[in-house]
Amino acid sequence: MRTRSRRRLAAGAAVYSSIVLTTWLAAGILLLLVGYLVFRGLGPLAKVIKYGVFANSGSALLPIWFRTLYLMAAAALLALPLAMGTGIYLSEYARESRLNAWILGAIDGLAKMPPIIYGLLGWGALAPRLGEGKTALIVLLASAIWLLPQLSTMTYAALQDVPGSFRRDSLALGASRWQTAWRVLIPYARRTLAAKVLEGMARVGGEAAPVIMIAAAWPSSYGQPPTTLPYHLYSSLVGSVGPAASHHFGTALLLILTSICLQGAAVQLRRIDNDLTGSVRDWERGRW
Amino acid sequence: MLRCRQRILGSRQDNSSYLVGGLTTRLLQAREEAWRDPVTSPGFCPNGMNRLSMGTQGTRERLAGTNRRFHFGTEEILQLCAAATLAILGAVVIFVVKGAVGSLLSMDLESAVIVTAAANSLAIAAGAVIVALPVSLVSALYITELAPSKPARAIWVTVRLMSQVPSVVIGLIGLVWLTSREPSSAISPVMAAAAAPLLLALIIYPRFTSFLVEHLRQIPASLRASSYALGASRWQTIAYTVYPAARSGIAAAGFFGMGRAMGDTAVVLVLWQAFSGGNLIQEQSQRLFTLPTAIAVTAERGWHHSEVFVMALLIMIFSLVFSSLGRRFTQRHWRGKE
Repeated sequence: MRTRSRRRLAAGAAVYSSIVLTTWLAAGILLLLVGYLVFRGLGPLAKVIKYGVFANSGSALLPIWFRTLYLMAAAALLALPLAMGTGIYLSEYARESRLNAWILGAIDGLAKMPPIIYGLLGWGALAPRLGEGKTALIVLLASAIWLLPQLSTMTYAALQDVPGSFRRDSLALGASRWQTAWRVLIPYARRTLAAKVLEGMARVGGEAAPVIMIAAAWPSSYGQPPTTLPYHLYSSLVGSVGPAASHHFGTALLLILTSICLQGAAVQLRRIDNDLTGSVRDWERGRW
Repeated sequence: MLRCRQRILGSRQDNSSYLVGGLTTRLLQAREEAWRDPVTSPGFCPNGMNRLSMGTQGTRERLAGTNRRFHFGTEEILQLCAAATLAILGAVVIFVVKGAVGSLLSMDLESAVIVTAAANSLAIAAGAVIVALPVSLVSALYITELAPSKPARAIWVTVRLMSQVPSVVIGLIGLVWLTSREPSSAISPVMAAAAAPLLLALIIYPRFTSFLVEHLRQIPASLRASSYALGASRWQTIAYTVYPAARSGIAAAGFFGMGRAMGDTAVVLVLWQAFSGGNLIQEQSQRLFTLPTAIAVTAERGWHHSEVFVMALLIMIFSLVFSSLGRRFTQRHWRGKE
């Protein structure tokens, strides 16, 4: 009896420690990645951000970074009103029907569509119509169209997460549906909404694929392509011969720091939702 | 209170039109009762979500007594928003489908390229999911079930912060890791082909983990409490209660991750560009020629425009299939969330 329980204890300890090891190893690789980029990229970044590579002002990171930030903000601002209207309508006004479920499924499917599709849209549909040289506008439009289904489903999901009692009480007080949605449900879901918008912005700002496609619409003789930070990194990586140079690490560091900052803001906003101790009581944690 | 009730129910007092149809008597009775008293009546709710919103006025009711033909208010504005969104998204789909149909009809496709690209995409995405899913399941279980709260929070925050890492950065890291010791032409094809799934796994691991943690947290504590009350140990609870309850979420995560890994462009593209040196025959890069890579490279070099749309349609179809499969597995939600 005694040896058996001891053996079980040993087995439990082995499994537990392997779980801990795996988890910390995986998280450690992610942290190591950031650490490596800081290690290799911090020095070059300080140099390149202002003066560019070999004092070539065209490759200075600061304007490119600003352009990327501008793109993220503008795309979110363009897409948000329409997306919120759609989300509110689908969640609060539309009757629950099979058609509604189909529409929701379609929007969700498009939200999960790979970004290269939206790049293809810019390359094949927007670029020929809007004319040459308007690459910045096309990138902006393609990003906004890409964000549109994401933000719609996000609004819908956030509204659906609001407890039904809020809706019921508001309606019982005589508020209209719009008043309920705008003054009760949206304020309740505000933090989640803001966090999801930040996540969407991080995604738009970090994705190179749409810009790669749109930049390919014209030969480079038409002038500088619309560089955002990820596209800049991609094109300088592909264009350079030989192993990665130090300024690549600088660009990558700036890129990853931007994404981490946006995500950090999102995590901070959703702090209340992120209650990890919900299911297991605190005193139970760490025991096995 | 009476006024509220009147306001809520007023427009639907005459519901005779709802009583026509092939419904059974019992359902009709339940529905009748639901209309009469939506708060207390059990069961059947025509609106699904919340019983009270069903009685509020819609456009048709507002126009019922008047001789106006249109009503323009918030509901209509929102309807327009939804219609505009659907129109834009429909235009995206139609654009791709039209291009694909056009090039399929023109019949000058190199179908071999398309088929290999699709197969490569599927293989790489499947590899990434196979590597990342078990690891993130373990991490999610550790975060929600096992860890003391501080380590759990530390890992959770790390995972959340890294969940939107730009894929170009991962591509750069992969390139540095592969070419640090030998030039890209000397790397064995197997190594080159194995690197892509590993790097993609690095990208989807944080997303998997946060998805699974969200899912595990949805499982009601009463299930765990019942398991403990029956005398089960922690391992038994995890193995026989938590894991079976989480299985649908794991499957959903797998499908969503497949879609995400298939659609990822930059990692594979950077590797492909480095290994191929610009031609398709290079041995190391053959397995890296995925659908998004093919689309981007074709567009960049203006090779065959007709294939781009077919490949885009393929990747759309794959992504739709995976996301709808994933959604099917997430349908179950727990009642009485605690």
